[in-house]
Amino acid sequence: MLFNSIDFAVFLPLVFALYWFVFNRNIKTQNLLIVIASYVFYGWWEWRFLSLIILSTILDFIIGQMLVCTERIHHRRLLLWTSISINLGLLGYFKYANFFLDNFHSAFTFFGFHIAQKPLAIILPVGISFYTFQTLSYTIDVYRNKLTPTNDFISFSAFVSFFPQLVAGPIERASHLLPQFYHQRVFNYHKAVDGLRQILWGLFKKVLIADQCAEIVNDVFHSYDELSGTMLFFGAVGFSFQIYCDFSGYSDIAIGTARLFGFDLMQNFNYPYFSRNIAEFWRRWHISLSTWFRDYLYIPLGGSSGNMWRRILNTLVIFIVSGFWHGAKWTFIVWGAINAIFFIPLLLMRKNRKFIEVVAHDRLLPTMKEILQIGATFILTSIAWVFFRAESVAAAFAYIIKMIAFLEPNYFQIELNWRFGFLFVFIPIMLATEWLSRKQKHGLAIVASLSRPAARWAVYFIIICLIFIMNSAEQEFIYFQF
Amino acid sequence: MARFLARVLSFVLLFFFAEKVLLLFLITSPKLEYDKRLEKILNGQANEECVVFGSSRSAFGISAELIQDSLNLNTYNYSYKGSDITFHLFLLKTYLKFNKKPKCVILAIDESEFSKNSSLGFRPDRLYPLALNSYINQSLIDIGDRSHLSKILIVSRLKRYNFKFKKIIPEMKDSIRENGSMTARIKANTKMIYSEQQIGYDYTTESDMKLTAFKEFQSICENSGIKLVFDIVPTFHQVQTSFLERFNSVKKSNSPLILHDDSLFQNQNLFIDASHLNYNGAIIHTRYLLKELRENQLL
Repeated sequence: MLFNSIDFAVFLPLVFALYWFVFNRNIKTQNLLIVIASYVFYGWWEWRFLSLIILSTILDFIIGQMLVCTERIHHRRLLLWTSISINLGLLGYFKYANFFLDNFHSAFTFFGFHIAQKPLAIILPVGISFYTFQTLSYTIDVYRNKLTPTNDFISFSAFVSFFPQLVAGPIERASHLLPQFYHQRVFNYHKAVDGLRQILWGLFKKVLIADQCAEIVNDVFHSYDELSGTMLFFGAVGFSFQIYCDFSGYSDIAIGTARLFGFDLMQNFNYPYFSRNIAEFWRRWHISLSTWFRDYLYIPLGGSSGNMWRRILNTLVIFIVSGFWHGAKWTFIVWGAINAIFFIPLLLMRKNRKFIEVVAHDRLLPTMKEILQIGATFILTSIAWVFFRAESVAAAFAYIIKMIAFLEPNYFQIELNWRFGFLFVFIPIMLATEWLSRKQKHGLAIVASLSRPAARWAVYFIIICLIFIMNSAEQEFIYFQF
Repeated sequence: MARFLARVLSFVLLFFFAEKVLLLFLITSPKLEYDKRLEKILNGQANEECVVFGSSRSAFGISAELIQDSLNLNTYNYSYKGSDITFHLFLLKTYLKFNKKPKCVILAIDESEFSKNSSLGFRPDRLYPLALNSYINQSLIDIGDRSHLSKILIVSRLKRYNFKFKKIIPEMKDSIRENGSMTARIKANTKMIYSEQQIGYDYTTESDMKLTAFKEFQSICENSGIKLVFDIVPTFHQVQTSFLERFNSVKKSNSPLILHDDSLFQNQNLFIDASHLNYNGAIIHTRYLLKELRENQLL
């Protein structure tokens, strides 16, 4: 069920009403409602894949229980690797089996051996990359004695399947989300109102920007060899905004929805397009995933300890694995590697931790230097995004070469119509709003500072009307495919 | 919680009333349109004796005026650019719902008639200006273009298309003549090469939805006692025989298919482009169509 669908518009108030009015007396029943609602939410797409979530839940619950019962390192390690193997095995099968088979076949063909290839008819379960990493964080933290395993299966099931963030994150840590299921939730008016605001902002970004960009970007990337460099540039920029607004929009809706139920999810995007270098960008983009890789892969590999070459190697591994996590295509791996190439010089110059505070934190406007830094970082990330979006690595290179070689300032081939017009309005509005809110949790938080309720309601009214009007055939969230 | 619910409900109620202001756009939308054919059908002002349905090929390639003058039948061309059989079916149903049934229907067939990869499709944008009409709105709900909320919310009936502030003036090529045809006195401005290539029919690209719509179209005409005639409007390539075989296998035997003589249409001066006849080409084609209709007593 998509967040911007009528189904969800009916589902959410219904679950909200049941949660706060019917099941609120007993925390166990309230958590049970979360589990049932989450399974309905997920099963709405494909009920058969519920078995995978249930399997992961049961497996890691039992392993968590067993980990606490043994002190023997060998035994604990075996349990941990059982969890990792099964979880990653499932992920690997559903997501990467055909990739490996294809490449296996290509390698054999390259060396002159011809083997029959029959791709497996595998459907990728929505959200498998997300909930797999979420449950793994539980077992790993229990193994590391950073978390006490839960005896409450219902709470644990609710943690794994929590519907706002089940299919596209944020990837929550058990230490952050799971304890919230142990305590009675108390309705908080301000949290709920701001949660609604955040949902609205997420829908604004998704429907008014991401979905509109998608139409243009699809045209450009589909016919890139027939278009001018200028159009390809707009296509690349368009995709940068599409993926940001799509993914951060989803996260905003997820976080806002969770707040309606009294839960706090971690911030997943911290205005990444206001970053002054690539390192800052990666501290602000898909925070839940990058911190997951930092804590569960980068640090175990040695992290920042060891010599510079070791750190560079670890960094390269993380970026490539991160790219591979996104999908079973070489384009994602190359995208990760390109980001690593952008990042490593900062590491070498020891500037990767340079910009910690938000840009222009004590001013309204950025300086010219900051504007140039933000612009340069945006262009670098947009170049990398071309690989993320392109059908193949070769197509991505061809796209970029053509984009750079044939940049002509006043040559538009795709008809400049209302689609561009709307985007030239909505994107600056989004950027301006997020700039003003850059120290707050989400873009629309700034509206709370409007003193007159009429002014706030006018803003909500306009946004809701625009969402209705621009909401064409429901475009799936990009990150559903991961 | 009470305060929260009160605020939310107040906002919802206020929204419900305030959004009615947007009705203005739905009211003015039809007035800004230059193509008022669908509105004519909805208002029961059609009532022709012979109607033509099809895509841009028949919009440009069939002269309804010539049919009317020759057969002495009140004729109108309801062909829409970019439209497919699902849209033609919608037009037929709408026509019959609000108007007297015609004596005959000429359905122009494209060789991509049943293909799911065709660039032709349903034209919801033709319905958007008329979304205030409950029948039109329901039709849009039925095709999944909007939700049932549009029955109570005006904003849910609006699309970007409705936000126009001045009358749409069509290009010369898109002008609609008195009898609905779009015959245009334009010649192709690049050299074209007539194609005689024959391609096999690809059953794997067939759309079940389009096939079903086509069969329903035929059934409605048969059950309503409407004479249905199929026509393939000439293009600057030879008609695909593989498509003809497929088409003949799904059409009813009592509905004739008028096939033009390819040799008459190998002159690019009769074409706007490789797919569309110009005015001169349309006259020649329509005359041929009329000759076939008379000689075979099809009408």
